[in-house]
Amino acid sequence: MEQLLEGVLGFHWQYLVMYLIGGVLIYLAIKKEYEPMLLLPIGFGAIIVNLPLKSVWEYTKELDVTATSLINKFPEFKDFLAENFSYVFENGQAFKVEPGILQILFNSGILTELFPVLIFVAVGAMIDFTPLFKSPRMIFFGAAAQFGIFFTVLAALFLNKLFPALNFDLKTASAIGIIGAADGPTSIFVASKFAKDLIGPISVAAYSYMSLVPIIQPPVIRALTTKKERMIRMEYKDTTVSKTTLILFPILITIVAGILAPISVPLVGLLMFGNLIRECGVLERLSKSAQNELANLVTLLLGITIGSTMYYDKFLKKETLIILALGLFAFVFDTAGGVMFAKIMNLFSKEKINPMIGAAGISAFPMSSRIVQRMAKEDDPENFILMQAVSANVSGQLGSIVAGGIVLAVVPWLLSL
Amino acid sequence: MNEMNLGIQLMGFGIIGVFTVLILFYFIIKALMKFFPDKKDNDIKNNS
Repeated sequence: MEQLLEGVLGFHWQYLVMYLIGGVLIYLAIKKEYEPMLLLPIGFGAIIVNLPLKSVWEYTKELDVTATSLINKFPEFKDFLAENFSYVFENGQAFKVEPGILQILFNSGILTELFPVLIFVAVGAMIDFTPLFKSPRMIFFGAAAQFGIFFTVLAALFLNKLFPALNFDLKTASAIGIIGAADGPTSIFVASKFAKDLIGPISVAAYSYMSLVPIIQPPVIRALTTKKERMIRMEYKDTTVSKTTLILFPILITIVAGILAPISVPLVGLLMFGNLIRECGVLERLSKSAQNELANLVTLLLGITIGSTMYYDKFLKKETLIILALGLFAFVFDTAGGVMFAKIMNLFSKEKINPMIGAAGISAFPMSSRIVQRMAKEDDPENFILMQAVSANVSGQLGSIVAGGIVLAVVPWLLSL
Repeated sequence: MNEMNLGIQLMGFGIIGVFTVLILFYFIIKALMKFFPDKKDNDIKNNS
């Protein structure tokens, strides 16, 4: 009889909280249209994994007599069996747990970084770097707007000093800080290397705040700029870009980034591969497939897999709330970093830059550039700075993956000192 | 080593690193635009 009622008996009240959270994400996706391609699958994944027995994640465990006698003779094999063969140990006994479908997707798509890099192929095929070639100095805002990442790492470490129970070491703090990259795949990529258990809250924070950029950025921009500064007009030189340039750019960037930060090659290389497919002019079918079928399929699987990491015992912790708060902090300081950098550049530049352009240096493309243009028009209906904002926005994509690569390279080195 | 010190070092390396790489990209863009100009731009300049 118990077996028939195991669903009811296995119900935890915390599941209700997770249904609410999943429901909120689904509501935001459908009603408000906040990043629906990610938030809806994540929300549903959060619901489906928080059902009794968690059967989408793992099947019922079975006692393995052979493994039990092995670990009793050689206890050092426990970790090996747990990591490679899905064993769990209770009361000196070894139980084999077959992974469920979402755990299989997690192990093969997230832990291997396959899904994030495939998304980058798709993103690369969608990006047009032409505005950046026309206004190359906007590239600096793509660097300045990554300030929030590193400031958030410091904030996380500072909080850890005050509350050591948080257990935010440098790797965990870096995985949290990378939310400020405003780039889902980069956040997942870094989190899967540095803080596997926090992939759920970090991804939810990254994608949620990316969709909330229209709400987050304007108050920060207004607080740091005067109306006179927001009314600065900028000249736009409309030059044409040769096909040779568009083809050589992704190849050269891959080589340079690969030499300077080899660990960033999966990110930069696949992004540039997607871009090369787009720009070469002879692979239109592949380009369209990358932009559509590949992007849609991987996004679908990525979203529900991320959602399935949100089991209540990992998600309903005070650390999750802190991560969500730090994610917002990262976005705020990204915006502030870009705007302040623009103001500093104006001290040395004859051609004044509208400081709002700095805010467009975050990777949330194309939303951030549209917000900047909208704000410029509010103060001066004839001010048109969209193309410069788009240039900065596109460079933000480069800046975020370079920042991700640097974090991946520098953190292990610092810890080895 | 104290974690905060490591964080400050990461911030230093991170910001300098991102700027260095993007400055390099800036020069790559400038070089590409200079050495591979669009033919339409060249024709306009030659005709004017």
